[in-house]
Amino acid sequence: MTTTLLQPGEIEAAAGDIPELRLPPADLFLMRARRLEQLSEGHALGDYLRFVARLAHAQQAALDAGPAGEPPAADRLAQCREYQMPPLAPAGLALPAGWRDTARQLAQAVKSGLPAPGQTALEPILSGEDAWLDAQAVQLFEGHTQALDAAIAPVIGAALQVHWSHLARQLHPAQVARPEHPNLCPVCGSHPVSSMVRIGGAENGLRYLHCTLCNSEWHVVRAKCSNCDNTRDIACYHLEGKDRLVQAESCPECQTYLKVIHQEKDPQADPVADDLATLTLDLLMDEAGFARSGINWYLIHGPA
Amino acid sequence: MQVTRRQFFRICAAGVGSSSLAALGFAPGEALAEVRAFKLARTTETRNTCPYCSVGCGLLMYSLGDNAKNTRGKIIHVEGDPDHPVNRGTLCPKGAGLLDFVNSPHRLQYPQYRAPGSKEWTRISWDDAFSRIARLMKDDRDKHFIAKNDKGETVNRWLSTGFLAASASSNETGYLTYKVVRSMGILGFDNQARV
Repeated sequence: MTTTLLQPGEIEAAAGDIPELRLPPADLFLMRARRLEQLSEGHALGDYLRFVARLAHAQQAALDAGPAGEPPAADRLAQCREYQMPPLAPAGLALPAGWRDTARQLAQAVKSGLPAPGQTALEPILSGEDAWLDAQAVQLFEGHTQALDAAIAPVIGAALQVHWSHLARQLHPAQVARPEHPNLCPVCGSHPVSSMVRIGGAENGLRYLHCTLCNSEWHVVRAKCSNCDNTRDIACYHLEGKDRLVQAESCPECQTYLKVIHQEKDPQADPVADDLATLTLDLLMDEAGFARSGINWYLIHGPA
Repeated sequence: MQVTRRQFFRICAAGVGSSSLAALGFAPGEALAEVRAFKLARTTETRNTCPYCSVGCGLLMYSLGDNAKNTRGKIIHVEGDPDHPVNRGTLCPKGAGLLDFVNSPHRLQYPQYRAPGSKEWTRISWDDAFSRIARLMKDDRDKHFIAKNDKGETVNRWLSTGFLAASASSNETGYLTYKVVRSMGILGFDNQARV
């Protein structure tokens, strides 16, 4: 029997550096669509989840087709890195050429499966003026959800996600700086949808916030408010009697919550799909007095 | 564009009626009705350090109860802290067994005394315990204290008693241990968990 002696560096490598940034994979929308289909079985929101699954399939097709758009030039990326600014922030980029075509393609792809009022509601995307579509995109970027047309926002958002995910996929994690308090996406400065405790490899057990726009994921330590950095009295809420796959991590200081999805309880869980499928948890958290610090563009909420 | 501060988003039953869901022609009724079938369950999430040894592994501890009066908190889950640079989520068998240790019915909760030669432990009060420890320490120190060495130099040593303190103590506890023990002249003392 041979004995392997550990050499200096081997133990340190195993405990190595935490991967700070996960850029989106090539099949992210396909995985999301499949998860949505899986979750829609017997779900109170089943029809809506199946609609979003069709939207995600259309997003994958659009991403596979290779949308237009190049990330900023190397000197601009270096400058963003130096000043810890998100290089793909929509405020610093022009809307990508072809994004409106993508939005119209997506609308066309999902329209036929919608109830009649939904088909009518999506009509403005197909017939609307370019300037109006651009204005809707800006409202979405700025989080002015009250000013948005809630029916078309998911499709507008889906088109922007395709283009920004495509841009993010062309970056390397080393090109993106990590801000000291990363409560917004280090790549594009957008809000998180939810967060996920990942399994496997160097990311095992680590919590990543998932970006609503570019689908990048950034590391934020667990048991800490991702909004205000408080670490005292962090409480996790879940539905009594249900599994703890999705929990709402709440902060008593800023009275907000962000969902934490534990992938070890379901390896196929998706930060966007599983967030959407747990609307009940959101509604109960609202009743408990907490505001949500993440946003899911697949379901924009109107004024209360 | 907001890049420096977070906005919040309210998701409430009234808002669902004007959400994307309703605007696209789907009926939110079933989803809203489902809310009434559920209640929230609360778990507190706390970061801590394993008490067992001087490695000082990071822990995440989950407990029930909200620190309210008349309720007793209960730890329901302990795991290695994946963000901690020392252990990166791992725990040794002792650390992995912490939950059972914390909740063990056999935990020592009061002082007990076993007389020399006896097999029985008897419960005694804290006052009795402190008095007895102080008495024995004083007697031993009075008997064996070395004020001066052979050359007549002042040394103030007490070598016949040793002191074992905790391994996962804070700096402040370590400082106090040192002050208390050394001021009596004890030289043999340690903070460790290799026993």
